[in-house]
Amino acid sequence: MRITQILSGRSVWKGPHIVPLPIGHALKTGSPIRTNARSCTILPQFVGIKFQVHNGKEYVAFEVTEDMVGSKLGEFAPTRKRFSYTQTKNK
Amino acid sequence: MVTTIMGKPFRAKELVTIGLKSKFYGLSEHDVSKVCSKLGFYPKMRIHQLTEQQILGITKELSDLTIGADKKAIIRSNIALKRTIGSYAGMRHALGLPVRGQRTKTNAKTARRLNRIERRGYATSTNQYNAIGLQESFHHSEQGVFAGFKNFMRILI
Amino acid sequence: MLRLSVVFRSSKLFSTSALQLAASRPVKATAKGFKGNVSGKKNRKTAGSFRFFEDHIHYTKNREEGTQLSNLEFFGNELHSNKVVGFTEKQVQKLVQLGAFKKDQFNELFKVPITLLRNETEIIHKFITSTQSTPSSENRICLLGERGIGKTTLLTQAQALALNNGNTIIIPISYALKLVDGTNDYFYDSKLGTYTQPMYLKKLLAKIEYVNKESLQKLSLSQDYTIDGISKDKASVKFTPKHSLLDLVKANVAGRQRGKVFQILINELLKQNKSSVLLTVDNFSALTSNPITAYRNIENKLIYTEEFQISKFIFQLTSGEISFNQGGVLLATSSDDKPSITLKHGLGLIEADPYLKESEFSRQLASKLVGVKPIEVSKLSKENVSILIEKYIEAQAFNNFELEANSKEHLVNQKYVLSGNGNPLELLKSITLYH
Repeated sequence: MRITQILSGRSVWKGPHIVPLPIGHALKTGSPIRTNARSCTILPQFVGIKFQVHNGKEYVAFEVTEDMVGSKLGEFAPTRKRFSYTQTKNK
Repeated sequence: MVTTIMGKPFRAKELVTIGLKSKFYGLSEHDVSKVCSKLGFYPKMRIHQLTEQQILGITKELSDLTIGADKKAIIRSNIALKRTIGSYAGMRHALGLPVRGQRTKTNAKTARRLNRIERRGYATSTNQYNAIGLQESFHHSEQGVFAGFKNFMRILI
Repeated sequence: MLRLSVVFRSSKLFSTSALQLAASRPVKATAKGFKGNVSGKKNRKTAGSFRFFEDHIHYTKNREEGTQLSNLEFFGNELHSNKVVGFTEKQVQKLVQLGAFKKDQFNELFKVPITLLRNETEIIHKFITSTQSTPSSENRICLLGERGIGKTTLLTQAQALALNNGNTIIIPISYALKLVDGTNDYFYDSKLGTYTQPMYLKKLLAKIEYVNKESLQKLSLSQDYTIDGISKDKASVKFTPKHSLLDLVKANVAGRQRGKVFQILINELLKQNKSSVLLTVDNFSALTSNPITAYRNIENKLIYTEEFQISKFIFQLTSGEISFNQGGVLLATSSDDKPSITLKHGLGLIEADPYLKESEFSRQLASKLVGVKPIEVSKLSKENVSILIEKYIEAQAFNNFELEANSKEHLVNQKYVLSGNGNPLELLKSITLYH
């Protein structure tokens, strides 16, 4: 990801939106970070860490890869279920 | 009279600026303005006034820019990347739904038509049939005033 | 084609559409391409190749079809106010080259183009007289006024007066918008330090040559000049004091060298004091309404009006920075252009808001107009309208019903009001389009 994309749509002087997370601990132990901060920008330091991001109901687990840098955590935890029609009421 | 620049046909009376902008995918008005200013073309110059030398000049300038199939390939790869990392935007592309939070209860016609991982068609594409992989129908397409409309209907059916 | 012509003819007989009668007589159409000089062998009787009726009327040779007015005096040096006069054939030939007869002026009504001598004609006459003896820095005027009031017509009268004098060299800029709207080619001439427009200069030099042949013949060059790269055959050409200015203007020079030729011409005209020099600029407001032109330089940056050779020359004359020993500058604005704050501020008519944008107001250009005398063209009086209506009746421009129903006095009163209390164009429209 290009650096500019991290900052796109946001004033340069603000920098990326950063939320304090226990990254050091997670890197050491390899334990997942459970968080509700969906709007946190994924920084290069996050690569390789497992996250559990809240989608409004439960925590969706995923591992950050290099390509994800610059996106938000929430982008990888969909909040809506796709509608599927069920034939019978009892089902 | 038809002049050919980088394989695209141009009508003789066409304005150079408008002709270039409309024929090449990914070439903005500003890009064209830059190219024309650099080569010393005046704003209302027409295609039939170009000399061989000037056409070569245009070809050289345009070959330095990312336009046409290259530009489309870049856009496709960006969409594919979004899908592989499993982001929301990638998912919406794959489902053929609007990507940027538009409503889906009604409308969303354009997204349904175009949004794929291998995205169909582009806003200013002149080679739409190649882009959506319907090359055969392009060859069978009709000529004439309503040809564009008819071909379009054919694709929908 | 045959069938078409039949239809066209029969429609002439039965149709009473406004267009047919607008020109008062059926128009004989000879088709001409956009090149304008296709030989008239193919006498096609269709509507021609023009998209708009005004263009068709203007560009096809239909003046022969117009009315020949009886007892028409010609435009001479006796200028009694409130009188309609016609231009002689000789004057017309040159005035057409000067870009005098524009297409919305209804000139096709008459065989000989007519003009009304009005109060402003005297001002123009005084101006032309004073250009014969005083430097051009003292004779700088600008015609202002609403649409159709007669600014271009007064400019034409000035040109005709100058032609009558015989010793005036006219430099005509007939449509100043063409200098800035990007319709002509351009390049940066590093020797002159300005942008040059070869295509425009070719036409301008041809006009100067055609109109001022006799005067230019008399003037000889003051020094030697060498112009390089003149054509494919000749590498360079040398001009000596034996050559006249006409030889210089006539020289068929390559586009790259035309800026130099124009510059030499101007420099020579500035030095001499045998002839007076008159610069006429129609649609001058096009230069001032936006100081930024449609052109861009090699780095795609803006080019300003003053960076062009001809525009720079015009503003040097309007500011009095350069001045002909005898001569004048006559500017006419156009209502087609955006209202120009730069122009009005420069002429001292209004005070510009200092917070205006660069594209709306240029203090630099305005400063170049200081000292130019504004002349607000006034509306026609009732006597003027009365005289004009006589001529229009003779030219059968009126609807017959209208003539039968009204006495002449009543007609004059009615048309005077309809023309917005004396606007010549509105007057003509109220007559010709009332069918």
